Amino acid sequence: MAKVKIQVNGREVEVDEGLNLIEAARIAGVEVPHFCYHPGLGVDGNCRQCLVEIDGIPKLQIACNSFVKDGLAFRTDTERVTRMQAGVLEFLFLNHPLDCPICDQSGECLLQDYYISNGKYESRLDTDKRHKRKAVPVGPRVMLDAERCVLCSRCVRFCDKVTGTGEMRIVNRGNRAEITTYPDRPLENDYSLCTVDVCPVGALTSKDFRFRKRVWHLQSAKSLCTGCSRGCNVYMEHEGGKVYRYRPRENMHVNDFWMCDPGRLTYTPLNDERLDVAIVTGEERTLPESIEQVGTWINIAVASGQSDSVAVLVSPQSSTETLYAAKRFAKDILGGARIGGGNVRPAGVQDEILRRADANPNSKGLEMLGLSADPAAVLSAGGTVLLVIDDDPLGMNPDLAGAFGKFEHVVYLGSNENATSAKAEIALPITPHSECDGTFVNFEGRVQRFWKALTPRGDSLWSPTIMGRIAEFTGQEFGWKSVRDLWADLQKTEDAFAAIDYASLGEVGAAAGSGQPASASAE
Amino acid sequence: MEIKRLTKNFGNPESWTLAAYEKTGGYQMVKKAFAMDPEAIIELVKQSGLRGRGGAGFPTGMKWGFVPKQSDKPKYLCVNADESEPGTFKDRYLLEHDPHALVEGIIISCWAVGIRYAYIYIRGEFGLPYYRIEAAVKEAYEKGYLGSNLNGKGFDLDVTVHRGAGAYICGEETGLIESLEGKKGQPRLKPPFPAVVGVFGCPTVVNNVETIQSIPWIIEHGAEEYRKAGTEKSPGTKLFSVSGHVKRPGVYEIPLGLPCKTLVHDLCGGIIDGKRQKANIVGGSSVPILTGEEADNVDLDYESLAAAGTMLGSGGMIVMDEDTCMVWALAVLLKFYAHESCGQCTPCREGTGWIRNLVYRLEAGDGKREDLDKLLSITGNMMGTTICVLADAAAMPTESFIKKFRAEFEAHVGAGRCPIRGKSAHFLAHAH
Repeated sequence: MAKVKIQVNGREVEVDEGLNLIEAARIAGVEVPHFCYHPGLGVDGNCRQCLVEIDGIPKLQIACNSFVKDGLAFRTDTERVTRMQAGVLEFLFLNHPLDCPICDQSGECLLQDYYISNGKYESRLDTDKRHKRKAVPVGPRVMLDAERCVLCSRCVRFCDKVTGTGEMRIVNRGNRAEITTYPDRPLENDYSLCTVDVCPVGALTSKDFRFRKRVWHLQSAKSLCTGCSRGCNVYMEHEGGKVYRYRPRENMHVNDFWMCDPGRLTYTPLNDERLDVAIVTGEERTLPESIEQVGTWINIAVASGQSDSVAVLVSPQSSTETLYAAKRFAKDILGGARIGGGNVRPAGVQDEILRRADANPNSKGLEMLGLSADPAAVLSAGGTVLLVIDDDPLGMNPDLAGAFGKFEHVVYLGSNENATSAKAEIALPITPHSECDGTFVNFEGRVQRFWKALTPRGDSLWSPTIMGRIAEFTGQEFGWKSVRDLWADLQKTEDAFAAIDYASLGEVGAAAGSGQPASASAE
Repeated sequence: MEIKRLTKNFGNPESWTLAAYEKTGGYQMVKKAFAMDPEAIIELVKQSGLRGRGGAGFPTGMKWGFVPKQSDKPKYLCVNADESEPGTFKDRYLLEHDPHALVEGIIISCWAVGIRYAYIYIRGEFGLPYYRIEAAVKEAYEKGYLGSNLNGKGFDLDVTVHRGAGAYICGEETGLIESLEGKKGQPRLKPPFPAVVGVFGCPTVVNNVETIQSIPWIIEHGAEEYRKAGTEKSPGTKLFSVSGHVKRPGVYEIPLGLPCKTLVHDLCGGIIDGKRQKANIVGGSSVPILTGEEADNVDLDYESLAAAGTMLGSGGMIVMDEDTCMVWALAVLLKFYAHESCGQCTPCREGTGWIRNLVYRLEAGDGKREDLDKLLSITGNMMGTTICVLADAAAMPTESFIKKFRAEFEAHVGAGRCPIRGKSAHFLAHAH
């Protein structure tokens, strides 16, 4: 795209032609306050908060609907701009309730932020405030407080432009105007919680999150949703070892600014029913003694030349690193163990927006490592040791119980207590994607990183570490101390990953095969 | 003093019927126009200097010129008959008394600009004007003035009358378009302008009734003759609808540039009971108010009124006598604007309600002295900061009322009631 030179507050910057002045100012490090403009929803021009002074135009202009051209100069720091921006904020506060102490948006509210950055006037609001509806459930997952609404219409435009469902409307005129839904048509599309994300104030809040945590206590880590094979980029927000919510993280190659509601609510297994200590025949045991028991069984199989009596059942729910470690474990440590796995989850809903029917985050990674197989085939013939890694094959498919029964020992490596962990003779706790670094490969072959958010819960360890410790009982080791170490091997030994450098994955990932954080691979 | 061009048929027996209209030469100008090159008609309108009569006064020929000549989409005309500006009732008279002149104007305008479909967006509260224009369109269809192949060379034109649902903002041209499309009536962000992206995304001309109705006269008499009335920059005649404390309120067609004094004191017979003219809103409620003295010394044309700090607007003149309380009058106006703000832009949505409440409080005698400067500061933040000019339309009168009648506002402070009317209207108690 052609570049143009512009001046923002007297500072020259080069930006892409056609950008609006809010985006252009951002590149120059200047924040132009705004409520209604959103890069994913376009320009509406109703909030009037982004007024700026453009050289050669006498009237102040809204930055969202003004676009750069070569030589354009504008200012956000003049007395007139400052006064008008404070004036617009004052209008917004006129009928805004002083709910901050009980408002969930508090701490991430644009009204608060802009009051600090662009307001700070002495209050002269001494007329009665207008009252509107509060705590209105506009849908199964979203709550509306009409008094807090600044009528920016972002939620309306989201439902019109992104989902095409059009549930939200503004009714009535003047300061009686309110956001609402149609009678008998609640806001229940699969992306309804995105309206909460785009809402710049506390008008729309998530029923799942509201009143659970003040946001300034939350810490945020870049992560991925594991609800389907899209791999929507998210912020995983947590406090005190507990994940409180996912928020979509912008990635124009994968999910733009959005994520689906079902995916957003998949964080709960990271908190609940966790397998965080080793369990041996129903009793809690220390991790070293549990690993020793597994290591002994494996060593016997290796030493007695019966590697093929061991089977490793892997899952497309696992990270690429877990899958790779399992593959190395089966092929190199054991040398000849059966390994493979596949989807055991029922297919989900697929739509034209983001959702994919394949409910696993790493089916593609499994495939690229050559580990796709029918679980029943991996298990057939039984043997000495069955290593089941991640997910809950027994819970999803109880018919597998017979095949499980043909092994002398069933060992489960997972993060949650479930039907499979209950059936296993030994269950070992491994870290889920909230507690380690790693990658998933989405359905399009985009390798994407997730970052460690929390310290591992209880005795949980990174699965390659546990597999390495088991391997030590055979006198062998992986030697990986970190994801980077593992990836150095992965790149060398797996053709499908040869071109991908872990260090270059960045925040938006890279398309497998290109090795680039490739815009070329975008749809 | 009066020049009857657009009002020439007013008062003729059954002037609204096709028979009566044809008897006075009606629809002859359609034939003349069809014999002319469309470009030549636009040029003629440009030369006439006709300016939009809805309020903004934008040159009509220039507006037509903005419509792309070549378009793969059909072009539209929207006749703005949503006359809602308080104090304005000229279009109502035109529609009631001479609806066929509007139809004739539409045909000529559409021929000139290459328009296929015309809508007459008429204010929902208008009863008689609606029935008259609806009947006129029907008659015109029956007589073959509307429909297909009107000029024998394939020019088709369909006209639809559309009734509004009661919103002032639908008189703003893009609010009108939104409403016509079946959406909530609120102005669109510009650009793009309607001439390029208008009704249903197609090139669209939006013109006021009086503007369109001027077209047949210009075709008949030419640009030079049209300019014989009015001033250099404000050519032609203009309909003023005068209301308030004058002896003979009504609609007057006068040449632009006529002294306001002549209209008020001669044509309208002066102030009732010989009282003093305290104030005059010359161009519809949105324009800054003039004191009686200022009004008596200004001429009614675009440039003179601009020099006097006000505007010609829609020509809806409201005359107030010496007994009128200016605070009360402003409260009445602001009640209207706060009610009619579409609520889209923050400064208007919140500002109109805020200044209304402050003025209500002043009117009741409960206001504070600092409220006056506060009002001026708030109106300063409202003006020029919104998509359309409704915010300005509320802010400008407020500013001018306070500046010109400040003593009267101050007299209300702490008085406990309106010192002029001796009582309070209790607006606040009835605010909704």
